[in-house]
Amino acid sequence: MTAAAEQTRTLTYAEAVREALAQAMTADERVFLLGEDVGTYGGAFGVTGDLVHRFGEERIRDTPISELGIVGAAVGAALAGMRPVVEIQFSDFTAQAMDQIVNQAAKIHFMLGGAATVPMVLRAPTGSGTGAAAQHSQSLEAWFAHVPGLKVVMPATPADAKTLLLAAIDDPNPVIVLEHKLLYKQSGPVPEAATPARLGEAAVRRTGADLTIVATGVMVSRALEAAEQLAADGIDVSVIDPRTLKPLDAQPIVDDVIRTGRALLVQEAPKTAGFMAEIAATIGESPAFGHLRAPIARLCGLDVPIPYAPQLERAAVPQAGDIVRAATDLVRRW
Amino acid sequence: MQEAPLVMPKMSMTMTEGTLVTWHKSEGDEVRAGEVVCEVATDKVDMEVEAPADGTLARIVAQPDDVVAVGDPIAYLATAAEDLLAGLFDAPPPEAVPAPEPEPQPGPAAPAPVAAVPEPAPTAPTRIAAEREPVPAAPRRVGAEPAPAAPAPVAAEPAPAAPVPVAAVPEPVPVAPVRVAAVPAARRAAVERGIDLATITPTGPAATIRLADLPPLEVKPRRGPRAVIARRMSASAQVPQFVVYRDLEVPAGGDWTTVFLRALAGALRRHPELNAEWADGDVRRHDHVGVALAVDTGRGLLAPVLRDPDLDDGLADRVRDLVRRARAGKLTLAEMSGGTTTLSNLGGFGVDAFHALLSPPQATALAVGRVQEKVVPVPGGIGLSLRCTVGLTVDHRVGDGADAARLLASVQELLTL
Repeated sequence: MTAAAEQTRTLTYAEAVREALAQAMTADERVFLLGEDVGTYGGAFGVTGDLVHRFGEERIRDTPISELGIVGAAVGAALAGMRPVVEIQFSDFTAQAMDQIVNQAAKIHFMLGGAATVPMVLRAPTGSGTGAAAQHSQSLEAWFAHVPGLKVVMPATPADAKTLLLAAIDDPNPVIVLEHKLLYKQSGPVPEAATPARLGEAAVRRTGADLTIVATGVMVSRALEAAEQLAADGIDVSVIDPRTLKPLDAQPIVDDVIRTGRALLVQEAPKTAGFMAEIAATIGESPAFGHLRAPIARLCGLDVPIPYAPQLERAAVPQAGDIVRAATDLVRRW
Repeated sequence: MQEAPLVMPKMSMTMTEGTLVTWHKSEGDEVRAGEVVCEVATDKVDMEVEAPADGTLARIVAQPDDVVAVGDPIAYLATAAEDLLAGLFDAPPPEAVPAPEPEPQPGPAAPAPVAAVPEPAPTAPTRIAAEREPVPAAPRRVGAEPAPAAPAPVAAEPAPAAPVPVAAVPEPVPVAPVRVAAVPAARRAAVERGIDLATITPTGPAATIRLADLPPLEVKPRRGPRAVIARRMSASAQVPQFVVYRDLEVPAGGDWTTVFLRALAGALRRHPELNAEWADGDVRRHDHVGVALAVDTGRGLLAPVLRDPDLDDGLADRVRDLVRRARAGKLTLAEMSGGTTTLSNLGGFGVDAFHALLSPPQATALAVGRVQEKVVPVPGGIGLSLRCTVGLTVDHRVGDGADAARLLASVQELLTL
């Protein structure tokens, strides 16, 4: 264990994000934040907190309600040599900013032959579970992962929330960081040092013999909870968290499926054309194919807008019990 | 000319399977009745298998190291002779093993007159596909969306110019190769293990062959003495047994193995209570003395049996011959059975004394150590004596320590007789 790894404290996911922002701004004057209510209010989910008092209104900039304008400003600032970190209050609102994200930020580096870069980070709370209804609860990672030129990160733990954000800020091109709303209050060990993670490195959270579960975002903790229950039933599963959807680190997944022969892919987003379809195809195209002893299975959110009613909201996305059932079915039938 | 199976012979009452050792003939070779065509191994003995009739070795089905059940074919002989198997087996004839043929498949139905709406996919027709029920396009967890209306047949399309002749001359329909549904891991394992998936009964969903549907990986029993020793000695470990050691005075001579063999057999004849076995909750005495002689061979330990060696004047020659044939792998089955005790002599290796495990159901085993001159007290001083420490192992269910001591006393007596 390195000295840096030893120096961890327990922080919430939100505090970990804030610490990453503070450390990045301390280390590099070009880093600044912009978004709706990130200043005095401290962010819609309290992530930016007191940063405005520590770094001032020049660097923690409250903006009008204009997502397209916010991202456009960030793209321009990035091109001008700054390192903007945009907060979009709910990832759903990126729809308003899609032209700047998809048609500008993602493409400029390519279209200018590498002469310019857009070192911009877009942070956005994602996912359901807070009773925020259909327009505030979506999981849109597949939108962004589909666009060449964008990197997509989904941290599942406080430590990853910090170290992946630091890596995103370091990255010379646009990175979308999708933070799950339900994780903000969860605690975990977070390294004190400002050491970034590496984008494109999956985390094998658990290794088992019978089944490989790949899960993203809040589904990682649900998969781990399910794994405990499954272990009690004699089913031994791996849980792999890609962490970075793009670039995707497929090797640990492929290696694990070669061992277990079975894959259960869990995402909160609706099934159709979701990111787990990409994982499924990746496994199918890989040397793991010949080792499959069961069809690759997906457990995803329903193809419905997230309902407001709490019971329906829960029913619309996989819960730990659903993962237990799907895993049991896959292992027992095949 | 008919094809008759050459089967794994049953060479002892207890033999249930044999191992093919080597073929002396190849497919297509002419063979004569009584000619050796191959060797098979039972527990410990390699036996030659002879052709039952004149003919041609048409097909070999068992390869070296294959373990074949008694009565199962190991080859097929093309022969004009009749009734090859007459009287060979009293048991019901072994299950006929016809040449593996692909399961009869219903040939693909003659192509139906083509409807205007194209079939979803022109896959080769298979049995599975034929049985498959129409599957809803995309299973949903909630049927929130209305199901799309079934596509109406596009009747407006003109029929193909050349009308497909209905009920045309029935031509033999070429049978499409069978594509069975199997998970990739099962396909891979089937290829690796040389299994035809068409012979596997699928139990997975949608009649798909699962990995678990393949026959369990056969762990080939390791053939030869090692396997037998492993099995017998594991059983031996279940027997309550003890060892009694005694330092014996040995007459000058030299062929210690023969000397001890005779003495042990004679002693057992005097003590029939130990020339016995524990069976069905009782001691059952034997009516002969059979000494299994442990022989170190290139293939491992073999223990051919000398029956009533104490009654044999030419014992030394018999022992030499037996040891030689044991090392050459040329023992007969009869020579491998009938032991009531075991003699093991490691004296030649410089071993002073040791503990031999019983070979169930034998109730005794004598372990003979090194014969050497020792300084011993003699009346009025010390002298030299040729001595040897032996260990007598006894099944405690059959006899007690005193029985063992009495037997060793008799061995001593017979040695110096």
